[in-house]
Order: sequence, then C-alpha cells, then structure tokens
Amino acid sequence: MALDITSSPAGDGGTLATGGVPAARRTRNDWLRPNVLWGLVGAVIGYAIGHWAGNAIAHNWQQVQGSDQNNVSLVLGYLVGSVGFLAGLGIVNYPLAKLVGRQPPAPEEAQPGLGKFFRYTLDHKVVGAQYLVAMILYFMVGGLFALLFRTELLSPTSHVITPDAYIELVGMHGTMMMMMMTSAIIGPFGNYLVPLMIGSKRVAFPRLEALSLWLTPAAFVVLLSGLLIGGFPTGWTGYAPLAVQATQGMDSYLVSFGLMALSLLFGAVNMAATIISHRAPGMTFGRLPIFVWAMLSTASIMVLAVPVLFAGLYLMLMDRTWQTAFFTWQHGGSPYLWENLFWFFGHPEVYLLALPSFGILAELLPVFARKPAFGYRTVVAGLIGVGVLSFFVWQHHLFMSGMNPDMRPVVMLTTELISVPTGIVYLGAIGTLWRAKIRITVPMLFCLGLLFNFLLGGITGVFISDVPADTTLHGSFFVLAHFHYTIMGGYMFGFFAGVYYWFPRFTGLQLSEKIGTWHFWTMIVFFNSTFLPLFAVGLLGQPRRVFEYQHRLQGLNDWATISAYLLGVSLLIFLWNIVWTTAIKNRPSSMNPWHSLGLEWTIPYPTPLENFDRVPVVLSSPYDYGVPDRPPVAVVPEPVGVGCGPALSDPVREEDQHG
Amino acid sequence: MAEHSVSDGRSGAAAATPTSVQDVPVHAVVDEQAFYARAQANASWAASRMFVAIGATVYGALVFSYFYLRSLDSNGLWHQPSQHPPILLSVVMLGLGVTSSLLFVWATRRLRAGRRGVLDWGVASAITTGVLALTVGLSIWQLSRLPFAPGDSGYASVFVGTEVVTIGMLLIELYQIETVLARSIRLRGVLSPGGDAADSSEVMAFRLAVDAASLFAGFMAIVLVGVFVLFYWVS
Amino acid sequence: MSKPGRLLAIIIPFLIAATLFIWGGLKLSRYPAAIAATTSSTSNGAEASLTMQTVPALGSGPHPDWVSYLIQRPDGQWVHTTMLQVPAHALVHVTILQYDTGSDLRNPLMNQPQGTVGGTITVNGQTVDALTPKNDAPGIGHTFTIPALGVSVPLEGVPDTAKNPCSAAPCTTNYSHNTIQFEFRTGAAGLYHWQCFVPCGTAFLYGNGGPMQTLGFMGGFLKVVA
Repeated sequence: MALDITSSPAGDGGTLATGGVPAARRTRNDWLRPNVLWGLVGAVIGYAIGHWAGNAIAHNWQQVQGSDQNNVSLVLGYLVGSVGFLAGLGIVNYPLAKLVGRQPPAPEEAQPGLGKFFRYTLDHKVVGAQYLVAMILYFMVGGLFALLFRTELLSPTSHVITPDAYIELVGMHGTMMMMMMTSAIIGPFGNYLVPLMIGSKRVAFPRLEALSLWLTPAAFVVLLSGLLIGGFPTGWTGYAPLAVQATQGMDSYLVSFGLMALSLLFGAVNMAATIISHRAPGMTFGRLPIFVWAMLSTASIMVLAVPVLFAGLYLMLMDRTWQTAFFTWQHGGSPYLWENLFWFFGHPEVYLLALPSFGILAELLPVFARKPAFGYRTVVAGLIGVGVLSFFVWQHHLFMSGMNPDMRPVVMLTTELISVPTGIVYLGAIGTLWRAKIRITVPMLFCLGLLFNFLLGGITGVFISDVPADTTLHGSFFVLAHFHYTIMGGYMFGFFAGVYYWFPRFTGLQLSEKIGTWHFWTMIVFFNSTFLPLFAVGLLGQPRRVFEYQHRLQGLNDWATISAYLLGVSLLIFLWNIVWTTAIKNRPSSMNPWHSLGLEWTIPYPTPLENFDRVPVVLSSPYDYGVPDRPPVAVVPEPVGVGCGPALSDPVREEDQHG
Repeated sequence: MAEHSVSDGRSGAAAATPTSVQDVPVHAVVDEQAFYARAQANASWAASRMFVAIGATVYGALVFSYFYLRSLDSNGLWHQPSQHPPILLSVVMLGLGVTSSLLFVWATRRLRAGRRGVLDWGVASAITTGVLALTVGLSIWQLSRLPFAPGDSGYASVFVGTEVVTIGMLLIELYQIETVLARSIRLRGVLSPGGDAADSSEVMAFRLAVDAASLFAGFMAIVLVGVFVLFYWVS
Repeated sequence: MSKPGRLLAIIIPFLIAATLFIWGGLKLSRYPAAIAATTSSTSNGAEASLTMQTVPALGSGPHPDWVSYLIQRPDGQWVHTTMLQVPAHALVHVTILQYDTGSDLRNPLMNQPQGTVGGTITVNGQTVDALTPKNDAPGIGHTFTIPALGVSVPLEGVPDTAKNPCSAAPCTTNYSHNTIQFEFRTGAAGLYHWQCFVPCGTAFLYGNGGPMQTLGFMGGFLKVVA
C-alpha cells in the first residue's frame, strides 16, 4: 500500500457523513459483496499468478536448478497471493480508485448479524472485535504447537516426532507467539477502546487500521504453510547463515513476518495519529488514561523499531532470492549483520509486548482498588522511559556472539538501567493497591497474577543481563523460562485481564465470574508449574531447541510437560467461558459493570456507530475514585441554544458522593 | 452546528482546560465539523511525518549495513575495484529524481502561498510524474545491466538492496503525486479561481494529500543525494 | 441467532480445528520406519550387515537433484531412507557403494576413519587407516558419521572423469563407484543420529543446506534395538 494518509472519511469529501463514517452505498447480496471467502479466492488466484511469474523469471537460474527449489516463485506467490486476498476483501479498491482520480468508494452498509465480522469494515469497533477473535485463534494455535513439542520432551530418547519436526514446531510456536501476538493487546483493545477512551467518534485512518487487521490472517496462513514445505530450522530469531541455507519453509517465515511488520506499522501510525489528534476537548495529555499512554508509547516504538526488522527481513529475502550476500561471510557479508538488525527490533519487541499489559494493569487497578492511580505522571514517565531505553539494550543478545568484550559492560548497564522505569511502573501499581479496598474480581485476579509473574520474570531478567550469568545461561532453558514469565506471565495475563474486563464493552455480555475464577486459578498454578521447573532445567544445563536431553532431567521435563497439558486445559476453560456466555447463557451485562470512571463505559451497548452522540467535553481524570467533590468525567454539550448538557453516565460519582 | 468550540487543551489561550461543569460555557458546544477537520489535519500532519520516519529508518538500516560490512571487510570482499555501477547513468538518474522531486516541492509551496493557481501546480506535478516514471524505468534498466553480480561483494549486495528499496520508494512517491494530480483534475471546478470552494472537506483533503506528497518528495530528494554520495563518493 | 444455531456455529469450527490438529499431530508424529539390517548370530555374538549407496542425484520426488543415501533391504530392493535398525551390542558390517564425486575436505582430519574395528576401512578391497593423498586424488564425497558412537568413515569420491557416472538413483554396480567396507560395534539400545559431515548440499550456502539439513538425505538415525 502506498502512503495512504488521506484515507480518512472526513477527508474523503462529499459522500461522507459529517465527521464520521462514510455514507453507505447500496447493498447487494451478502455473498456477492467482498468478504473473506472472496479474499480466499483472490489469494489462490494471486498465488498462482505469482508462482507462475516466479517460475518464468527464475526457472533457469543456476541456483534454482541446483537446489531444486525456486524461492523466487514461492515468495512472489506469497506476495501476490496476499495482495489477491486483500483485493478479494475489497481493500485495494480505494488505492486503485485514487489512482484514476475517482471518488474513493465507501464500503457498503453494514448489515446486522455476524456477517460484518467477515468483511473489510471501517468501524473501529468491528475491527477491534475481529482482532480479538483473530488473536485468540493465533494464540491457541501457537499453544498447540507448544503442547506437541512438549510431548516430544516427555522422554529424552524415545521420540514421537523427528528432530526436523521438533525444530519446525519450536520455530512455529515462537514465531506465532512473538510475531502474530505482538498485536494481541494493541489490536483488539487499542483499536476498539482508544477512540472511546479519548472521546472520539472515530479513528484517524480507519482504512489503515482495517488493513493492519487483514494483513494478519495473510501472515498467519503464509506462516502455517511453511509446515507443508519443511518448516524453518531457525526458531523465531531467523539467524544467518542457517536461514540462508534453509529450505523453502524459511521463505514462509520471512514473508509472514514481513506482512506482520507492515500490519504493525499501519496499525501504529493510525494509533499514534488518533491519540495525538482526535482527543476530545478537555482530554489533555494529563488526563489521558494510562492505557492510552501505553498504546501511544507502544505505537511510537513500533514506528521506529519495526522498519529495521522489515529491512532485515528484506535483506534476508534478497539473499535467498536475488543471491545477494548480506549475511554470507565468504562474499563480503556477515551473519552478525542479521543479529544486529533483528535484535534492534527484537528487544524493543519485548516492550511492545510488555507496555500494553502494563497499560491494562495500570488502567484496571484503580477501578478495583477504588482509589486514584498512584503516581500517574511518574508511571507515564516510566512507560515512556521504557520505550526510549528499549532502543539501547539490543546488544545484550549478542553477548555470546563474539562482540567486543569491552562493550559488554556498557550494554549490561543499559540493560539493567531499563529495570528502573519498569520498576517505577511496577511500584506505581503496588502504590495503587496500598491500603486500598480491593475488589477481587476475575480481571483483578489476572492483574495480581501479572504482578506476581512479572516479578519473577523481571528479577531473572536483571540476573541474566549480567554478563557472567548470561555467559553461563545463554541459550538454555533458564532464558526460556525467564521470557515466558515476562511474556506469557505478564503479557498474556494482562491480555486475559483485558478480555474479562472489557468483554461487556465488546459484546454486552458478562463472562461468568465462576468459570473465570476457575480459569485464573488453573492458569496461574499450571503456568508456574510449567515454567518454574524450566529455570532449574536450564541451570542444570539443558539447551533450548534440542530435542534430546540428559536422562537425569527427565523428571523435571515430565513435570513441565504434564503441567503444560493442564495449562492447555485451563485455556479450554477460558474458551468454554466464552461459549457459555455467548452461546448458552447469554447473560447481559449492565452498562458499567465494574463501576469504572473510564469514558468508554459511559456509552450504552450496542455502541453507536459514531460512539458518542456529540463530542464530549472531558472534565476530570478517569482515576478520581473516592474524590468527594470531583466533577463528572465528561459532559455532552447540547446543540446550539440549549447550553451545556448532562454529564455522561457516571454512577461512580453518585456512589462516591453518597458514600 | 454552533460556531464556537470548547478548548481542547491544545489551542493555547482560547480557554483553560475545563475542570467542572461550570467551566463549560453555556454557548460552548463543540462544532464537530470544525473539530474533526482540525483533528484530521493534525492526524495527516503527524502520519505523514511518521511515514517519513519509517522510510528514514529503513534507509537507516541500509546505511548501517553499508558501514557495518565496510568496516568488517569480510574475506577482503567489501568492494572490488572493478565493481562500479555506470556513473553517467547514475548521475542522470540522480539529476532526474532530485530535480523532479524538488520541482513538486517548489510548485506546492507556490500553490500554498497562493502565487500561482492549480493549473501551474498541475503542470509541475505532471512533469514530476513523468520524470519520476522515467527515473524508475532507468533504475530497473540499470539493475538489469550491472557489471557485477549481486553477491560478488558486500558493496554489491548493499548497492542492489538499496537500489531496489529506492525504486519502491520512488514508486510510492510517484503514486502519491499521481493520485493528488488525478484528484486535482477531478476537482478542477472546485479548485480553480472562481470555483465553488464551499465544499471545504474536498479542498481540505486535497491540501492534506498535497502536503503529504510534498513532504515525501522532499524526503526522497534528500535520500537520492544521500544514496549517491554513499555509493559513488564515500566508497 | 437461536441457541442451537449459536452452538452449532461454535461446535463445527471447533471440530474442524480439532480434526486438523489431530491430523497434523499424527502426521508429524509418524516416525519414519527403519530398515532392519540382516542379522546373524555367531560365536562372537550378534552380527548384522548393512548395505548402502550414495547417489549424486536422487532423480525423483520433490528434490530430484539432491544428493542422498539409499539403503538396501534384505530382499535386495533399494529404499530411499536413512533410518537404519541394528541389534544392540553387535558387530555391524557395513558396505557403502559410493557413486558420488568428491572434493577437498575443509577439515583434513575427516579423511581418517574413526571408531571402526581396527581403526581401518577397506576401499575397493584395500585396507587403509586414512585416505592418503594418493587415494585422496578424487577427494572425499561424504562421510558416514555417528557422533554418539564415535564412528566416522570417509567415503572416497568417484573421479570427475569417470567413464560411466551414475546420474540417478538407484545406481547399479555397472556404474563407476567405490566400494567402502568397515565394521563397528553398537552399544546399548537407543536412537543414534548419523550424518554426513562433508558439506555436499551443492547450490546451498557453504554446502550445508538442503540435503544436509533434511532427514532422509544426508542424515538419519541408527535405531539400536535390544
């Protein structure tokens, strides 16, 4: 896509409804309208065209003939197939119409029912809901891969899968979780909630937002297709020269990661521009919800880190297709170049995962602690500090890669330094809980679980940032356990806190607290039961990505594997909760079930197309819990001549004022 | 719609940030059309700069690759003396790319300043579009006739990698300018002197698109000079 | 949507997903079957015989140009696999028919047999303890190396100028080849990885891609059974 920055409905001229969503066109039969099925048809046609073109271009290249694999045709197939998918969804109509100077067509009118969720839409709420379902799907698939290779680790010598399949599964799991799941919070919650939280009727660039969503299924399918062609042997980090040597499954990794990089970039530009420019009157930066601050910080990191990843992936694709030698020492390249480019993105990536969950944590704690967020400005500074410092630590991934030993202490110090802003955010959360009247709900349980897990993940992170410790533990299960504590224990617990908390906002239904409690307790117990032993396994010397290990470690490995199965059962409980709530019980939620001061809870369900009847005027912070004479969170000005209208629904204020 | 807006906290002295219902004047209702027009202008300003930042970061990664491989000189194969792309063709492409981009920037500035009309700007844009297309064509032609293979050295690899990115970036620039040109043709009745400028959302969208295209064109002019210096001068 | 409709809308995709997962899991967990060596029992204990060949190009399948090992079944049929089965604590007689050409070794020590009975191998009927420069003239084509058992055997390549080179598997002894014979002893039961250590994946970077990375071509498993 080109620089599609004028894609806003407001900027599209006369056919648009005032300040909102494009005027709808006439409707056709549901099956004839662009939808995901047409997208699949487009993908197949596009793949065939790309593959044919690649064969025409490169079939007689010496390298292609000698290696029995034409990476050019596969890559072109993937790329043109992805464009075909987007074309089938109707996404390329807009840039094509612009090219010939035509009035850009508006999407057709949304129909009631589930059909709109299988289509390209400019409604940020639908996009958010689509993102939520997609992310849960990607997470579950990634988790199933983990269960498969944990099964292999039940025995050190008896095997159920081959070593090739083992490393393929490890790579698939890692890539699915680190790549696809980068959008797990900013995608569903960011896109759905940020406009509501800042009092906007819309996002700045709805087409970019929708494009960012629809690139993810393309990336997902491309990645999974790698399994059919031998997978990739590198894990999620794609190190050279192994990645250059690898068979065609490596192309699926590179193309899918590239598609996800574009998705992240488009989503980030829309998110940052929306937060900067579409805040309601009175929604100053000093009143911005911390979750929105986290989204802004995350989007900013994305804009500066993801292009470097994109460039690295592109260079690797050039090495594998056009026979350049960026990562080939013999021809003037260097595999270390990949390590630098990858980790310049790869370490900030960790904070792309951590910051959104911090945002959810800081957003939810005041609601359930019923007191103002502790150290609001300091916590926000911490979020920004983490974002800034994240660009100065990537070289710690190269401690064991032959970097100049004199440089290692410098990077060690910057890495340790990042624990300061992280600690500030953490202490802010603890400060909010201090002497609070805590309401224990399922979202709150997940927040507390996040605090517990992240403490272990954070402390072990500081430990292995020390050069001597890292020298010993590099590449071991200890490192694996550490980052699972930060990412699954932190990020995913934050994600589930968000799901339970905002599910009523998304669906108008309340997830079962009872089933949710079961979900939480099984998840926290079996998560720790799975990953705590892996610290020990790592200390005892078991390396990552190897399908055999010492016999003496079988007990711990079996414990971890069985716990992983039970962790899977815990996630099934979560799915059951969704099924129970949406398909069986259908228990409607009240408008503001948590008695939150957040602006997003002032709107009835179903959320109106333009969110607010009129642009609200924000009067106070969303964290003024227990402040006796605080003003309402926001008011809606009446049409001219009537004056200032009523406050938006604010039951919490009444609660505060009447004790 | 009312004519007044409530301060959004970003418009300086217009009004203090409201902190109570009383702070919201009785007449102060939000003019939504103006509010979202301003929001969209801000968003467009911010996003166009973010896209330039993204482009700059991609080039940053390539420049890093250049100096990293140059400093390593792996296997003594950073750059063989015989590996030089044709200088004359490169100078021609540089001249065409930079001149056309700057022409568009200059014409946009004149349009914004009101010194010349849309027709003047349109002619400049049409010339820019044609010259950029020619530059892209020459770049592809040059890539197909390089006197070295892409994997011959570190320099050769970075050169080929950078050229392909630059072709992609030029195509994006071309797309942007072509689309605003096409839009100006569609809106000629509105944009021409004496035209019906009442449809302000069309005009505003056009201005935002032109500004974004101009920013990107200026960025590409700098990039083209930088790439030339890197591969023909510094090397 | 009615309640049964909602349930169906959930159950059907769930069943499809579960089926796909089970199918994928079964497909991945299908370990390739091993070809059992011909076994016999002597006064010295169990013995087994294995016959293999290396070919410069497989000639069929998705990778017809890849170099590969093939194994001969007891009935004389050549099979494209690298999964071998031998008895535990046995003497294994191995014959490898080497039809591929050779090249210079990156690690010259790889020209020495390791872990074989007597530390020697027989090349075309001549017993040697290293492929000397004289014999090394055509270069080493591959090795048959089982790291966990300490076994490594260099396989002398067929000269590039050979009159009758084999181009596709399975090759018969009418084609130019070298016959390499050796013996080694197995230990306890278990699964032992074996691999060629000469980077022979032509058209892949450093020769280490393609057949060198793919089970069934230049690497496999020795299944030692009690």
